[in-house]
Amino acid sequence: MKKSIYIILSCLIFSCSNQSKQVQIFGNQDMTEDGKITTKELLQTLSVQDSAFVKVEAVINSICQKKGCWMYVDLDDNNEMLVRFKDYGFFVPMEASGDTAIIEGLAKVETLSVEWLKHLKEDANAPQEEIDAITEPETIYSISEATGVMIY
Amino acid sequence: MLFGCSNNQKECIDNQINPNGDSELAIVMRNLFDNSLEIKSHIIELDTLKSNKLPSKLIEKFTYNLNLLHSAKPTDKNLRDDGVYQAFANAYINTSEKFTNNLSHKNFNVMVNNCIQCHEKFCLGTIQKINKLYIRK
Repeated sequence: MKKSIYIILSCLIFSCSNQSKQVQIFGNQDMTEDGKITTKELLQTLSVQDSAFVKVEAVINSICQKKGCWMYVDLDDNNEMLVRFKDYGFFVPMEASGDTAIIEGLAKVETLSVEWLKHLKEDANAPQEEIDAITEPETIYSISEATGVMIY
Repeated sequence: MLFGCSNNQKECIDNQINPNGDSELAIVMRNLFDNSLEIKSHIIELDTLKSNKLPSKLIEKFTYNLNLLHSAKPTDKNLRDDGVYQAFANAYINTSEKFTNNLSHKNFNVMVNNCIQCHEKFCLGTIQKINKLYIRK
């Protein structure tokens, strides 16, 4: 009997720890995941309107390796979105690439200058040839003033 | 506390804002922003401009942080290698002194502009925030 209880408890503990995710919130500490949308839904929205205030769930592709002041998240096979944080008021852990995030803020399409594109490459510790190869502005998806980011 | 920042070899200061830790210089600049915001709130009042006087505690804090621009440890350890940062910092310090000696919206904006010029060279990310310091008519 004791053995059975031990096994059941062990299973429960294992399944709990297996499922529990450590959630970290940066910026708006009252942020919840209520109302989150997928990246597919975001792309659909931005195909018919210029911008939208969203909470979007996406996987983090890369993060500024100088201080965690921006990140690129995955939208689909062809698109990424640049996320920066409102008023430089918070940052994200530099080692969070590959984690999933929910980002709250105004998503839009914007054109980044050559200086900005080079700066992002420098922050990502990209090779000099890659930085020098940037000669044209680029139109990208962005949330340039995210108010909150939840990472798990 | 000794983690993050840049190149994994910086002495960083743990804080609420940056989970990676901030360099001393990042904290100095954040303090300068806060000081400037406070200064802005004072000089919006015409009486302050007329008296040409800011609260001494505020000037003390601001001057203290200005003086750290040349010595605080930066996020990027190569920042001071070529003298460009020092030139920008000196220009900012000079215009700040000019402003504190002669309070005016114009001198304040010149000071903010100097701050932005340096960031255009070294760290674009915070410009959006610094822009909010400008006194607009």
